[in-house]
Amino acid sequence: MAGTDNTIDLLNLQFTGNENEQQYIIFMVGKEEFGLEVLKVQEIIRYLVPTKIPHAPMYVEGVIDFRGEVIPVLSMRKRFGLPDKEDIEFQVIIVTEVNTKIIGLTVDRVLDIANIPEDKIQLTTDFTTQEKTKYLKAVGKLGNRLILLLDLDKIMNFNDEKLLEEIISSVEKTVDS
Amino acid sequence: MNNFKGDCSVLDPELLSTFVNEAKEQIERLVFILLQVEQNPDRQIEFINEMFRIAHNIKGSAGIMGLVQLKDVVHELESLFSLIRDNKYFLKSKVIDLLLGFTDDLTAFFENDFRNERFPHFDKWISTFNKLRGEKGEEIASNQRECLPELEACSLVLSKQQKETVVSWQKAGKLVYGINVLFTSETVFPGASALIFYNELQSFGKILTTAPPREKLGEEDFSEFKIVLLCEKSLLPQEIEKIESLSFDGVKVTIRKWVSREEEQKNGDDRSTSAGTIRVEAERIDNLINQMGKMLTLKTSLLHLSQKGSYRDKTTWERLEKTLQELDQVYGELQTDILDLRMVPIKQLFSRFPKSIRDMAKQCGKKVEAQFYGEETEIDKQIVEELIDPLTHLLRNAIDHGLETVEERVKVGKEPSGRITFEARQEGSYIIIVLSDDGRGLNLEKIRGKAILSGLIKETEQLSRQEVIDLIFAPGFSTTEKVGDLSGRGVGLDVVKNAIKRLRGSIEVSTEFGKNTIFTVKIPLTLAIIQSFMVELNGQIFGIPVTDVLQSIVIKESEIHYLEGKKVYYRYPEVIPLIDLGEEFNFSYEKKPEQLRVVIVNCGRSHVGLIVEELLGLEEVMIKRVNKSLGTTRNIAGAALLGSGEIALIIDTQSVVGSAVRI
Repeated sequence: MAGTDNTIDLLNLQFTGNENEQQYIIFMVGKEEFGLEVLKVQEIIRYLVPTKIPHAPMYVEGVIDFRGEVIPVLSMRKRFGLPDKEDIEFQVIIVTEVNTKIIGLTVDRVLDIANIPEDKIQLTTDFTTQEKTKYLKAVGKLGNRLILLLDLDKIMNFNDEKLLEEIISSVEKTVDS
Repeated sequence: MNNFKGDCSVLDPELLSTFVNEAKEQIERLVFILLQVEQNPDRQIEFINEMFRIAHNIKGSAGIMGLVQLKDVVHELESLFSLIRDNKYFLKSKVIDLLLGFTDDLTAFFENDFRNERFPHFDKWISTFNKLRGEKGEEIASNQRECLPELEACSLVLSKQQKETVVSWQKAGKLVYGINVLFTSETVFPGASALIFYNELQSFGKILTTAPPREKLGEEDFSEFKIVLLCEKSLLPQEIEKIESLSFDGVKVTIRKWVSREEEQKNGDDRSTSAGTIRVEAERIDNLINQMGKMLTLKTSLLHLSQKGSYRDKTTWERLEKTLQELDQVYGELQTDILDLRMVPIKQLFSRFPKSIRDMAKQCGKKVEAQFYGEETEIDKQIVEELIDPLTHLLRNAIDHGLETVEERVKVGKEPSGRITFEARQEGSYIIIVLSDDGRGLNLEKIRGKAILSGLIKETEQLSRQEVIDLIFAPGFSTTEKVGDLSGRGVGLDVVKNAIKRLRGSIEVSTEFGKNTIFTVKIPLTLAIIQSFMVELNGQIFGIPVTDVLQSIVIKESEIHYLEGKKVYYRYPEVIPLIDLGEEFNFSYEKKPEQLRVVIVNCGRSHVGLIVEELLGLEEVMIKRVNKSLGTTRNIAGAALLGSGEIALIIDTQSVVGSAVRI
C-alpha cells in the first residue's frame, strides 16, 4: 500500500492524450490496488454526491454535471459487491471513456500514476469468476505491489450496453438538443 | 466496374457530411421537379437544364467520393437527361413514374450508411436506363460522351453584345422571354411555320435573336426554333396563351422567362452560399446552445444569490441588482437569437409530402390535390425531423381512409379530386399544424362499436361526441383488421399521439361526417429550453414539463380513497388516480398526512395526480441530453442543470403515468 496521499495533486488533472501507453492511474477499491490506462481517463474529480436515478441498476450511483454534460457515475464498490464506504474523504470520481460513452467511476482513493512496462504485465485468462476479478484484463507488477488492471469494456457488460442503448435512444429522441 | 470500390473512410468526415447533405437537397429538388413535370410534361423543357445539372453534380461528387455504383447509375440518368435536352427524348408519364421510383432508391442510398452499401437495385436501374435510351436507338452512341452541362447546348448562343442587352433590359425591370418552338413529324414546312411565328411574335415585343437565325429560316431543315423576345412588361396570361396557340401542325410552343446562365448558376447556389447566408453545421449551433445553457445556469444562480444576499452595502447591492436585471434581459435576447439559428421554414417539412401524396394516391387509386399554407412559418430544425413520421402517418390515414374514391366522390356531388390541406402558423410559443381532408369524415357509430369490441369502453358507457372521436388515439384501438371500409381510420394513431407527446405537443381531431376530418397538431417552438414545474422528493429536485401540468393542489391523507386497490382522489365530477412518486421511484421521505402535495397532470382524456414531497414552482430550464452515456430510465425524459448547480431530472410524465396507471 502506498502511504502518501496523492489525491490532491491528481485532482482536476486533465489528461491530454499525450500520455504514455504504459502509464496507469493506480487507485484503491476496498483493499486492492487497481490500474486503469491513463489514455482512457479524461479527468479525476473530487467526489460529489450524484443525482440519483429512479429504477437505475444498483451500481449506477446517479448522474453528475461534468463540464456541462450530464454523465452517469458507477460505483466500483457496488460493482465489486463491496459495501459502501463510510469515510468518503479521499473518494474521487475517475471520468473515463468507455466505448465512446463518458462515464464516471467512483473509487476509494487515487494513489498515483505509474509506469508498468509490458513485461511486468500478465494477462488473466484463467481468473476466477469472482465479482472483483470478472472485470480484469491483466495483473501488473509494480515493485512488489500487485496492480489489478481493469478492463473498462467489461465493467459495462453486454446487457448494460443494451439497456444503455435503449435508454439513450429514448432519451435522445426526447431531449436531443 | 460494378464492384463497389469506394473507400470513404479516408475522407474527411466533414466533407462527407457536406456531400450527403447537398446530395439530399438536390435529390429533393429533383423530386420536386419531376412532380411538376408529371403534372405538366411540357415543362420538362423548362426544367431540363436543372435536372441535368443535378444529375451531373451528384455524379461528379460520387466520383470524388469513390462511390462507383452511385456514379455509374447517376451517369445513366444524366445521359437520359442529355437526350431530353437535345430534344431526342421526351419523358412520358410512365417514365416519370419510373424516375420517381429511382429517386426513392437514391434517397434510400443516402439515408442508409451508404459507405458499406451498394446502390439499391443497381443492375435493374442500369438496364432500365439502357432500355429507356434504347428506345431511341442509334442516338445513344453520341450521348455516351462525358459532357458538362451546356446550357445553351440547343444551339442558341447569345453574343456578348446580346447578353449585355439582355442584362440591361432585365435591369431596367423589363422582361425577357425565351420561346421554344418544337416541330414534329406532322409539321409540313417548318421553315414557313417558323417565319409565320416570327412575324406574329413581333406584335408582342422586340425579337432579340433566334436560332436558327432569321435569314436562314427558309433554307435549312430544322426541328426546333428558338427565339429570345424582349418585352416592355410582363406578358399577361392571355397573351401567353395566344402565343402558345399560334402553334399548328403539331408544333409545340413553350415560353418561359429568360434566365441567363450566370443567373441560373446563382439561383442554384442560393440554396447554399450566396445572398448573405452561410452554411453552418448543426453541431456548431448545438455547441452554441450548450454554452448558452451553461450561461442560463449561471444567470439563474446569480439571481438566486442576489435574493439571498444581505444589504451590508446598500448602494453596491442596488447596483448589483440592477446589473443583474439587465443581464437577465440581455440573456433573454441572446437566447432568442441563438435559438433562432435552428429555426427553419416549415417548408422543409412540407416539401416532403407532395411525393408521398402522389405515391399514396396512386396506391389507393384515388385522385388527390394538395395545398400547403404558411410554408414560411419557422420551426426548430430538429422538430422537423421528428415530425416527418407522425405527419406521414396522418397523411396516409387521410388518403387511405379519409378520402373517397373518385366514383364515390362524384356520387355524393364532390369534386373528383380529394383535397388535402396542410397549414402551419405560429401561436405564441407554439407552432400549429393543421392537416385536413375533405373526405368522408369519421363515423362515430363505427368508432364506438369498435371501441366496445376491443374492450376500450363498456357498452353502457356514455361518452360525449368529442370523447368518442378521441377514442381513435387510444392504444389498443388500432388493430390491423379494418372494420368496414369506413372506419379503418384509427390504425396506429396512438403511435402518432405518442410521437407528438414526446415533442411536448398535443394533437386534436375534429370531424364532420361526410365532409372532412381535421387534425390539429400543436408543438412547442423549440425543444432545447422548456418551462418546468419543479418538485422535490427526498431532497432531490425533479421537473415536470409545464405543458403536462394542469394545477397543483394540497390534500389530506384522509381524502385519498382506494379503488380496486389503487389510490384515487375524488374531485367532483372527476375521479383522479393518484401516483405516489416517492413510492414509484423508490425515493422515500416522511409524509405529512395533513399536507400531501399533488401535481395534477394531463394524460389523454383524463387527469392523474402525482404526489410529491414539496412544490418548488416554475423554472425555465435547458434540457440536456444525457450525453452518450447511461443516465436515465424509462420514466425520465432528460436532465437539466439548475442554477444551484444541482441536476434536476425531468420526468417523462406520460411514461410515469402509463407505467403506473392503466387508463
